Amino acid sequence: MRLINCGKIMRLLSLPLLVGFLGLLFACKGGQSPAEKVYVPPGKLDSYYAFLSGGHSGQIGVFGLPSGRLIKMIPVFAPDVAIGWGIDEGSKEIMGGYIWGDAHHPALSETNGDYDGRWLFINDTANGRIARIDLKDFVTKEIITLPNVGGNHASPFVTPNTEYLVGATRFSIPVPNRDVPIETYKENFNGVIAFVSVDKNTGHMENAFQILMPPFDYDLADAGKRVSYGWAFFSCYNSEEAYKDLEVEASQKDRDFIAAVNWKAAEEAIKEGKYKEINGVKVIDPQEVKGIVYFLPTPKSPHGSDVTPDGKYIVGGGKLAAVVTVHGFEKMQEAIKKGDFDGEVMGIPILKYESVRVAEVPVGLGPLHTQFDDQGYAYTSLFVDSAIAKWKLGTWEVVDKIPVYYNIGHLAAIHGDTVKPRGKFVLAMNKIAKGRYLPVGPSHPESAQLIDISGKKMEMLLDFPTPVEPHYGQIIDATLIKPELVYPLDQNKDPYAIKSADQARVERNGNRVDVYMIAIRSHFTPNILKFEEGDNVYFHITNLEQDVDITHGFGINFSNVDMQIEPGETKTVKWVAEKPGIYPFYCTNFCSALHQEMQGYIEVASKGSK
Amino acid sequence: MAKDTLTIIDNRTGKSYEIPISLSKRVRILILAAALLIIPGIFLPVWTITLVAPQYPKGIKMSIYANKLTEYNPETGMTSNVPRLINGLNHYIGMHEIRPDEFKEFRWLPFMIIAFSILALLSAIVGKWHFATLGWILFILFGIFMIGDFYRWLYEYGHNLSPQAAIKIDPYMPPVIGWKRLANFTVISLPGTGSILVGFAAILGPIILWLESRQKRLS
Repeated sequence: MRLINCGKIMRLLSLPLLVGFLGLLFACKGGQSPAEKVYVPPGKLDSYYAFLSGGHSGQIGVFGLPSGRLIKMIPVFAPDVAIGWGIDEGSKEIMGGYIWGDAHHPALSETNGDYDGRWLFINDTANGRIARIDLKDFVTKEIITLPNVGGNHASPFVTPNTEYLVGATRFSIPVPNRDVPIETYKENFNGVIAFVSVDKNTGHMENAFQILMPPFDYDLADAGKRVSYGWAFFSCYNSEEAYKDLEVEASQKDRDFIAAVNWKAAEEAIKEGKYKEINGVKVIDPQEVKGIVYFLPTPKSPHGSDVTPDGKYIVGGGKLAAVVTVHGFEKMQEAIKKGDFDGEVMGIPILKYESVRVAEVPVGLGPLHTQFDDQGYAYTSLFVDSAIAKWKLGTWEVVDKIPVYYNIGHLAAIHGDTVKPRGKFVLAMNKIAKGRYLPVGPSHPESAQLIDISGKKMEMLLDFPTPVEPHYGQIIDATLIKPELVYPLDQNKDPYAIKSADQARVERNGNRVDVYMIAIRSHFTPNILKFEEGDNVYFHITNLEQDVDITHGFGINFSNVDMQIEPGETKTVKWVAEKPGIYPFYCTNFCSALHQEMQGYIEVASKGSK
Repeated sequence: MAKDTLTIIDNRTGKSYEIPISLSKRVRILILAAALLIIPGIFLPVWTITLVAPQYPKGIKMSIYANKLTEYNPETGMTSNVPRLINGLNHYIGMHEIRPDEFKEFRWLPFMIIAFSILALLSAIVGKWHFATLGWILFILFGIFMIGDFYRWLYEYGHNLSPQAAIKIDPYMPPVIGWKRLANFTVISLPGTGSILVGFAAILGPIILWLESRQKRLS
């Protein structure tokens, strides 16, 4: 009796047990937990670099993914007193007199439409500039001003072989800038779309040409790729041409525009001399030169203007709509050929909405910006909904949606704006973080969230705070970047470099004093210096180290002088001997067991006493 | 007086063998091989000293060649002809700076290598046991002298420490071959590929003798 019962129980249990066991097997095979997906064990490196703009901090954050670890802040438009950015003579010259900038959109250099890991560019919305960072050493090398551009927001968004960086006006101004009544906005103000050329070998930037535009607010851009190579697409709002209460006045029309610019045609026009020079830049006026710019009507105050990896479609994120609008590049070409226009603004033809639009995808509220993966899906950030929508290119159906915390602005996928997206992750850059981190007072950090996109459903993996304020990011396969770990001393071409302690010296020329100094563990040579009141002292310091991570600092007490000098590098800093007295100086960046002993003294004698 | 055979006594059996004083073809070829094995010693490292520490997990490698030395940092991939990193570290304990121009050996060592290669070549050509044996003994003496010279340099560096050093340590003997710990560093000293090849050439002497006596025994 008992035996029979046991057998029965076993039989009854066997099926659920088997199912359970198989389920467990499947779950194990099915993948890792979110923690495992982002865990990078001690001593191991991340697989991706994420460059997130630092907004009005004027810097760029370099993060490792998938861990979300902050590795470095690169100072660009703002001083950094640790490194000495904005303090030493070289960086002061690069910063061009400004001490702030609004760093919005990082853009990695591209070859054949994919990131090549050579340079990183970023725009300054505030002072109309673009900076170039060399990824050999992650240092800002050059900042160029784009004349005539008021608030360079839609920038730099490189063309597929880094032929050009683009720039465009957010706040229209008179071109050239002059004193006119603000009330004459419509007549006297203009937007400008700018192209900045990049030297293939050196990365050197130059203002190539600009196009005069109606006084709209140009927002974001993307360069055409593959089939649409040779074009660039700029979203714009405020086609109402308001200048006062934009909040209301600039949101009246159902459709604003994406401006399609044929930059190959613009190059031809420049060659043919069809331009006028304004503030030293060649400017094309579309009222005089046809066939360069067309307007694609796009609902409603569009933000993102993103070209699909195949180059066939332009996706407009209708900020105040509930849809993204997809325009077809081929349809646009046909419409241009047929002259399918619906009026024009300032000589720029407006194409008929119906003849360029391919689809309106109902992604949700407040669509801003779109990135792509390697499986034919698009990911659109939804500011108002606080979510990301995943939708299929071609069928235009929304297949998944995931909430983010809170109010996502931009998002970045791995190589997500190139011709070859890598899939795997998408990074949400959220504007509001309230409650997601330990409270630190009224000013909250911004918040990034890493989302796994490799499965059918998106999966939230990780929160990490970001310094103010990522407006966009670039995520690149880490194997594509190979920075130098020290500067080879024998290749140091700085005119003030010295290669050994016996070349150290002090040279006086009137009240200009040049100090040729070396820093090596754990001393400066010379380390006893005597000046006279009123001397302008230029310290040229060479770090003779050739070992990894042996950075020396140079800080002078009772002054604003501090900087880092990397192994093999020479830097120059100016210090004025303002008041008689004794001024200690020391190595500010921990270098060795005798770092605390690495110091020197400056003696300033009163004028005429010696 | 001139004999045309050489007597070899087998230690184990106490028997003696007569072998012709002229070298067989096989022996000549082996001596020729020795001449060729010595030559790469001119451009391959003679000895390597590697310093490993917690903050130098990949080590700093100093390679001593016949005519120069190099310091290689695997972290940067940079090679320098002056051991800048090692000197920088050694200055804490007051060790005399390693300066390649202080090694007179670099001036004559390549020529010695060439000379011994030529000597081996001559042995193979002349083809007499006396000549070959003398050459081999000179070669071994030279080897011992070089190891002694190396020992002397290492002793100098380990014992001639500046009394003004920031960190005072007891004089110490760096390893000629093998490894030794000093503070946070492990010093590993090993023959370089050049020396290993030269070592093969030297070992060919006893091998030849063994081969010849074995053949005699068998016949």
